[in-house]
Amino acid sequence: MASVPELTFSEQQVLLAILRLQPSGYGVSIRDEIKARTGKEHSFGSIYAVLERLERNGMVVSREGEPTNARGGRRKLYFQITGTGQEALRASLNAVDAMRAGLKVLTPFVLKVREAFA
Amino acid sequence: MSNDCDRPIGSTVSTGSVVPSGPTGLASVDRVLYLHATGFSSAVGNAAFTTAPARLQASENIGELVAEERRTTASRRDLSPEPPAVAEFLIGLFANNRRYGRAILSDLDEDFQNDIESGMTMARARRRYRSAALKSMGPQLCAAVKRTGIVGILIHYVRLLLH
Repeated sequence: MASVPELTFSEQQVLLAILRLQPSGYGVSIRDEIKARTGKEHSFGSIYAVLERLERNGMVVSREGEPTNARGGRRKLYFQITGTGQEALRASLNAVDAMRAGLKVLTPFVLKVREAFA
Repeated sequence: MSNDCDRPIGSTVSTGSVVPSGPTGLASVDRVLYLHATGFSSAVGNAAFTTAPARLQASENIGELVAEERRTTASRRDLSPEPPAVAEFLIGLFANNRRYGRAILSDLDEDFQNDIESGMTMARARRRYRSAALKSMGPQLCAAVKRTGIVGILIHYVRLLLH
């Protein structure tokens, strides 16, 4: 079995949000997507810390958008999931599914994740 | 420098007297205080105060004027459609890398603009911006510590200070 990087829960959430927002996921939309589906609001600092880690591991790539009119034309940073990222996400979710298989009692946490990204 | 406070009560300021401009570049509040300190009560409405009650009244007027100016300045600062500069500076300081720092600021700006457009008061929008900026610093700092270690962070900040 080829070595695929393991993902933390926050990395799973961010990758799934990027996948849903493809190809125009950026900080605000990623945060809003996670909040809308899980009810948890993350700070931009924590989202970008995860994004930086993912980018360093080659799971996402970023590109700068057009400068906006507000505040001297700062650019948004858009993120896209790479093949490696998709593979890691699939493996990570499969591992969760495998661990859950056959269990009659599901924790509210797993149910929440499952419902959020179904 | 002439000082009309030293003049005997009953005398008037000559109409041709020149109000001292004081050090250049003074803010309006500082200018009022400067003129008051130098005794040029004629600066308030160019009036000549000839009696003690009139001087007392002038003094109260100056107090009100200064208070009004301070209130105006504070409300102007609260109504400014700009996010708080200190919060921006801190995000720039704590951001893990510059590209991500700019992106965080851009996202905070977007939230700030959305808050204002949704009818939120400027003061509340600025408070929310500050709060979001503060919440963003911790994770960025932790990520930087994990990546480069405490020594790396210190070296980074020393470099920032030197530049």
